[in-house]
Amino acid sequence: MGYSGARGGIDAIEAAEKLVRRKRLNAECEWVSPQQIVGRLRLAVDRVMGEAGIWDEELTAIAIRQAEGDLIEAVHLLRSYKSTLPRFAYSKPIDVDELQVVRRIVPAFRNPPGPQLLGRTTDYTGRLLELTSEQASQEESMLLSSLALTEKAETVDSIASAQDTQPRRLLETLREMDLLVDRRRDDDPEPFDITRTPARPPASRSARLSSMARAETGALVNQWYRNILGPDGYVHEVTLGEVRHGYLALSIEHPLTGNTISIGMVRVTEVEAIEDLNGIDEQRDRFDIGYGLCLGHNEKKAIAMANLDIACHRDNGRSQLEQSLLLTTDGLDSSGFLEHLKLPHYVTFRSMVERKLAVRKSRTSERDS
Amino acid sequence: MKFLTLAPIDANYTFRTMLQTLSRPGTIEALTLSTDSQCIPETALMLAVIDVETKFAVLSSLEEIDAKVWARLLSSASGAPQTELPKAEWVLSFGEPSTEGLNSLARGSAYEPEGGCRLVVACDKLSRLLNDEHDINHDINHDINHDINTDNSTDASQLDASRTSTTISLCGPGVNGQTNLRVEGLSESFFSTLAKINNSFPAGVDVWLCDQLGHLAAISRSTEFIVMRSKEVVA
Amino acid sequence: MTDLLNELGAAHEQQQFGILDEYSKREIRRAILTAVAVPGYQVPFGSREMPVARGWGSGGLQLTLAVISPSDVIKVIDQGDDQGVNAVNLRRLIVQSTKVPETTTASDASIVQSRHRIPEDGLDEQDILILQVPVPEPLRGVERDMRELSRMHAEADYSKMWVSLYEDKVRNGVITQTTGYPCLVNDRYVIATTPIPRWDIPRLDQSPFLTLFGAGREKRIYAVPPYTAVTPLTFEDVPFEVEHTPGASCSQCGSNKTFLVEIPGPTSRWVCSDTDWCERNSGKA
Repeated sequence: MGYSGARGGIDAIEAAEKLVRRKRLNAECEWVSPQQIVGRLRLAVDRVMGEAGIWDEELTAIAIRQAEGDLIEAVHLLRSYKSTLPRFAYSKPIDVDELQVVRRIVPAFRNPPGPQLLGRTTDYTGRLLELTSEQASQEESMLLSSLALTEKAETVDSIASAQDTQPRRLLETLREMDLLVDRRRDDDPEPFDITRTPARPPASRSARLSSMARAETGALVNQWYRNILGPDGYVHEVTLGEVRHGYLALSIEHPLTGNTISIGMVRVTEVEAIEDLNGIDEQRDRFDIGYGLCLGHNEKKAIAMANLDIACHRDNGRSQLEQSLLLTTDGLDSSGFLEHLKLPHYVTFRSMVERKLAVRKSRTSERDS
Repeated sequence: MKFLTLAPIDANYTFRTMLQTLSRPGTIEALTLSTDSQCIPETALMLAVIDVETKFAVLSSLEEIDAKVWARLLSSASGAPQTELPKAEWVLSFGEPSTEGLNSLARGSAYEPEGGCRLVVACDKLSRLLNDEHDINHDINHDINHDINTDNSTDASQLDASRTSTTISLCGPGVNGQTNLRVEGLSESFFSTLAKINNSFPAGVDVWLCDQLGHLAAISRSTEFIVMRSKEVVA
Repeated sequence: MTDLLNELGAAHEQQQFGILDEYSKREIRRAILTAVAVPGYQVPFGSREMPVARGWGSGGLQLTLAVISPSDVIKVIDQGDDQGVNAVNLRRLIVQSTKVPETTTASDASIVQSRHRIPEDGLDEQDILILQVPVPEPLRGVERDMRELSRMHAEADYSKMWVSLYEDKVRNGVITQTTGYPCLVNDRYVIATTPIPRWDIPRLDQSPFLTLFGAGREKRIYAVPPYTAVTPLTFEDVPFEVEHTPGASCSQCGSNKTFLVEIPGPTSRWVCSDTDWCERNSGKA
């Protein structure tokens, strides 16, 4: 049997690899380019970038294509690729107030400072499966792209003013209304690098936030559901302050001149969640804020993150929420370990069978004595 | 030397030698570097393990060696940041470090043994005592305090360290039973201070000794050792 | 802008040996040295994502890649079998990226990376055994909170473990720990001996070779130096039992003094799990 057979190991593996490669490259259909994946499956690309912790749309599309749509597998490809890349600079700290929004909503108020900009979302559209013919869809697509050329000029004008693209944070207004606990610090601690040191409880806030930023989306949503609304935690009164999707500029220090130079932009989703403080040892006449940020457009993740950030802070080590977040939400760790069960385990199994027989033998000898 | 460099292949071999000696405290191994590298053996030990994320420091009790110069060379070659002694994760000492310096090294804690400093000490000569050297049996009961320079001040014993030879007997993890190590260039004071520091295992300091011929030996914080004898080396 | 980034990248490209970059190797090497200095202590390290998945030997692979040199000879086994598919994949990755010669003969190997077994013989003072560890925490069954686990190891408070073993014995008549039996190292730290069978544990005690344990997913490295005491936790009046089936012997080489695994069927057959040893013993090598 080729699984762990006498001389069949390498042959079996190579046969499996040839099969996968042949079926993947020669699937009986048209070739899919990375541009198509970025263009038509942008949310999958964004989700994978966030979980891989890497910003590169084309590379991500290639990973998704190679993984044949298994998004966690795509994340693995990107992260192990990242392991081979040298890290030669750190970006300068970014002030998130510089985020240029393409979407921004504030559920907490009807008329917050700055616009409510629905932007590109399907939140308020009925979930109706569109079954128009392929031909009709493609015709519509071609028509829209020729219209888009003329629309472009308008769109740029309408989002011209800085006030609109960089709206004032609700946080500032809440502070002015003296409704918030002030947790701002004077010091400037070095952020925790989870790619260099494993985070363990009790961990710093930056360790928790960066772990969540790279967490598997489903895992984080599940953690949220269990803790904020579900059986593991207690119910939190949750109101969202900001939900933003937009662009952030990245800059580094030039290695020779020392000047600050811009190296590009990343697109992120950012959420601030307003938390009602009602604990005995909390400031019950105020609110507190949880923060979430992740690469790409992934609102459920950022919202879960913001809620879990403040829940963790309020939990203060009483439960194992922090341990759960730090240790069970990484997609590669969880699915890798799950799937490792497919590896041969016959040494352990033989040992287990032996113990079963030993238990029975000891019971028999007890009965006999 | 204007600059130091350790080729990846040599970093590899150097690390293996460090691993072999730390796994077998008291064992002596030779370190050889290829022509792709330009550095003296004691600096090779540092360059094999330090990088931008490790803080280090350099000490010197030898007149002809300027610690600052070597610190700069190491920093340029590795990108590792220099720091004060108590914060250093890796320390290179040319010659015997002072008792004060030794005592100031980070020891980590039971919760964080990895916080313990690693010390590389450049000494004169490492050797094993053979069983037929009658000195062992003869001196064991007489030794320790009798043969060291009679001036008991710490400064004096440091000044004389370069002409001192100390023999220690080791046992513990990695040692098959018991073994001896003779170190020329380090005084008894160094070892007794080290023993006290490593008394609160798992906190402690791990030490590699590197002699002028490129030989290496190591003492792990888990090693138990006693000074057998210490004496002046006749030039 | 891309030009600048490319330039910076090129400037940092070093001649690498293997697929792990020099920074990662140093990090792992430092962790290894700490592990050897404090036998049995689980050293946290920045575990890199490897081409093998978490749970599939990413920790063992990182150890091997950090340690291996051109003058080594590598053997990789899984359940004792050189031809196990995962062993084949790992060995292929290692050999392709480092060009180090490979072998199936344990005595010819200087580094053995293994999942769940120690070779029956062939490892001596020049060798390093690298074990793949799925779960490095031996106290996982008796304590869930990581902060408490940290305290237990720091204070050598293994009382909960002892109680659990006692209850096991009382409830079942025997201690039912199967593989990965908890052992005390250097009279100080309790370790998870990964799922190596109880059969292999005596060979860790005072071994001439160095054993490194790598848990990539949990990001921990620990070590048992050579000539170090490794004692399985048991009670004075409860002898430590290895796997043994009376009357069983290998149907290929006839051995009954090696770890055997069963071929199930109407009549049980047994074979050595260590395929290399078995071949040599059958004179077929």
